[in-house]
Amino acid sequence: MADMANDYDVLVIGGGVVGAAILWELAKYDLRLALLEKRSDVADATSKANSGIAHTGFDSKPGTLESASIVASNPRWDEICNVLEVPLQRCGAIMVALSDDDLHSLEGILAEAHANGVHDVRRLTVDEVRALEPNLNPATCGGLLVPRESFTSSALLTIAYAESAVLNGAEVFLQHSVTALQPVEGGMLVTTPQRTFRARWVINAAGLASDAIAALVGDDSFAITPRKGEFFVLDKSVGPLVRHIILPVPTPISKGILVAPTVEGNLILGPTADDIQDKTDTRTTADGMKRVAEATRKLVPALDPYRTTITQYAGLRAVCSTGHWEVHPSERCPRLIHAAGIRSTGLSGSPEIARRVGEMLAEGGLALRPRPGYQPRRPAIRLIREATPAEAEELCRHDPRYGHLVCRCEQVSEAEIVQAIHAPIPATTLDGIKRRLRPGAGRCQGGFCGPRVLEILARELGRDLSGIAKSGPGAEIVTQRNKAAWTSKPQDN
Amino acid sequence: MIRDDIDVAVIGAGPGGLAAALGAWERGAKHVLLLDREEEPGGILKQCIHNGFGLQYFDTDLTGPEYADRFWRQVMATGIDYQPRSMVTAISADGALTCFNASAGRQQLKPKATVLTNGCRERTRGNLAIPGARPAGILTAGTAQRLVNINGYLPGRRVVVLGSGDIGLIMARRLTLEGAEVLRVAEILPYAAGLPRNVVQCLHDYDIPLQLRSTVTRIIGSPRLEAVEVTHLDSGQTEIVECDLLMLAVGLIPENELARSSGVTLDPLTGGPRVNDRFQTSQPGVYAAGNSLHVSDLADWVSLEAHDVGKQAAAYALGEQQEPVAALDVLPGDGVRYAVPQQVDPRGEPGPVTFSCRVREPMRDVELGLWSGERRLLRRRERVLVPGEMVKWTVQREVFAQETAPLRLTAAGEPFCA
Repeated sequence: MADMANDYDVLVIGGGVVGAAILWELAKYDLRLALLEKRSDVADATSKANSGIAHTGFDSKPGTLESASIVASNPRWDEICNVLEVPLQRCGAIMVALSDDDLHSLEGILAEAHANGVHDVRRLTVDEVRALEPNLNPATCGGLLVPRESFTSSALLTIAYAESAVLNGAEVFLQHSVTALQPVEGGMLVTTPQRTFRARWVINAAGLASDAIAALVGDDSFAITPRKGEFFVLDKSVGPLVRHIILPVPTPISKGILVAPTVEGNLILGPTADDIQDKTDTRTTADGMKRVAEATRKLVPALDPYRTTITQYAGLRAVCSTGHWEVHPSERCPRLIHAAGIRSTGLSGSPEIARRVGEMLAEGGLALRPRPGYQPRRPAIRLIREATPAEAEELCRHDPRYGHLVCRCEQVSEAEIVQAIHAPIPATTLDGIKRRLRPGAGRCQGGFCGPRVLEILARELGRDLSGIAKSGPGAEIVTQRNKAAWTSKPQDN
Repeated sequence: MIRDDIDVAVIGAGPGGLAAALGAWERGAKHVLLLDREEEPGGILKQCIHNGFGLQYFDTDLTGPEYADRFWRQVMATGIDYQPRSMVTAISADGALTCFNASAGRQQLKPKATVLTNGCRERTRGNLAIPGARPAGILTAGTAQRLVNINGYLPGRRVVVLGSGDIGLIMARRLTLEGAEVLRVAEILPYAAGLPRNVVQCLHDYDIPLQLRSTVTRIIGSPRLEAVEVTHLDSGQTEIVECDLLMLAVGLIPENELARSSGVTLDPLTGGPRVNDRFQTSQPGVYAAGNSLHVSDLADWVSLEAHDVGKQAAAYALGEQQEPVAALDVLPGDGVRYAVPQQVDPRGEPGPVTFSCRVREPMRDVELGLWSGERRLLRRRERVLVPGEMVKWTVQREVFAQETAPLRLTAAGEPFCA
């Protein structure tokens, strides 16, 4: 039976960057809030597997909601990343022209950038490009500088949004998959296998599944198809090859495959853009990787992706059948507000999408009064690798587990891992820890630290080792005790 | 506060570090500090519960923990200062170490000499860029070995091993003994990468097929591994093999991050630092030995080498090491993949120099050659040599004392598939 004691003003479906941003925005107000995420962690699908670029919107289609949202969001990143304690690298982007045709295209792109209100985009001469990026293709004949194109981590941002909301009273329910939506007087019932929630308003930020959520109220006004993007992650030893995000001149078919320096000092190369059918198909492909390698070597010939890669991944963009973002109340059910079809710039537009959803709720009659005692700052876990010598000594004094480094490659201590496990959005899997702190994201890919992180997770969560998974249920690292039948000790499985 | 009372700091207490610390102590260093990141000494030996250790060093067949224990007992009988749970994160250009310790916090140490014996790491699925899903159930052999032998858990029941490196072979047998089914070992090369004795004792004796010229080309299953696609290189045929564990034994790389942080010159062929015949890196006072220098197939080789390097480091710390007089490069010639040390002092202190090298491919009726320019200084005959077995060649310094052209190690023989 439905537990009617749990009554929310707004319930957000989907713990990606868009859903988490909405929760964060609404948590500024005196509202009862909850977010439902079907996976074991927030930022566990599209929001963990993308380029991590906070765009300026210079190349978006002028006059669209997408363009307006990105352009409005970009100036806010310094403040947002500051209060949420998320890394932000204002590295800028350079679009590289390799031919006369490219040079010609740059003129149109420059005009479009200005039409989008991104006025600081400017042309670069060959010499200027070479001075900024000496490792580009010698055929480079010009470029475009986009000074405010920035790099962040969409997973860390999503986690920070959600944690900030939780610190201000919102609730996040992981592994809660929505199976039914039912409009009722003054609100909606939201059913999951665990329980039924009652909320006055429901936000559909379910990403790839947002059409399925809409369909639960008979709304078939849009359909989502996945578009796969594959990436290489390269070793930090080649990180210094570029300093800006390096973009090709887009073709009519593709916006192109880029080279970007990450906040951690690696390079990422990608993405491809392949329309597929299966919304769970995040497999990398030999063909996709080959295309990424070829395209990026055209920009930076010194790149040797296959010899310097430490890992590869693929993510799925949610492509909407209507060709644009769907951010509005459902026509079938006005208490369901879509924040859907946000194909590839959800991170870049998330603050503005969230603000607009808030506006829609206010227009719908929800009173948005400031939350008493609202805490804007979300303290991030202090990282030993980023500490100065004096700070490191202080951290170790405060918690000696800071002196116990568990991960060699990325220098992560036991203290940080323990904090992540007990954080407002708890990390309960190896991937969850990796996403937040990076043990396993470095050169050895968890070869050394993996079993140690596993042991810490088991200890802190009070579980047996076989109860700890890579990503979620069914992905346990070890299956059973050795010589299970021989021991007299009762078995855990 | 920088500690500067240390003669020799040894980084890592595995088969290399334990021996290096002993060597330094025996050579007369007063304060030898042995730093190790784990709770217990022994490094990777602790999880190597199989036998085959000690045949060269102790003339006895021991398991890994027994081998480590023999060294540990010797260390305990000395005044060597052992500091566990300590990870060295950087060496500055002037030789200062930054170290994190669970009780002392962040430490700065300025030893007179440092020995890098911090071992190697395993190549990963990511390094190979194997396409497909990214499920649980893909582990390097060393990680699987730790889960099985230290934690006491099975990481899978139906196993495909990719690569025929020694740890993979050992773990194929180990998992079989634990009741798992090891379906096959796929190796991209036309010969096994590991030691011939391991191929026989771990695969042949347990009827585990070794499939040469084949590799894994796709990972299938989510959230847990369900199968892998194996492609036969010669026929191009593919095969789907159902399994819940893919274990990788596709090579080891020296842990060279510390060496890099100190700015020492690396050898792209070994992945480790370049050293002279005293095993000093390009930075005076920083020495390297064992798997952090070049990956060995036997722990015994690591210990023998490191014991000597520990002595060299102590001599340096005590100010008793002669300055190098001259330097000759040592290069891998035809048939040889790499050579260590990469430099020798032809007019250095008398005594032999031991060269380590590996052949490029399996060969029989082999003639090893030591050359200077076009002149052959020495030759040695071997019945069979395979890349999986390191060649050790001890040469008297008189042999090249008068030379001025770079030395070259060569191997010529009849190729065959082991």
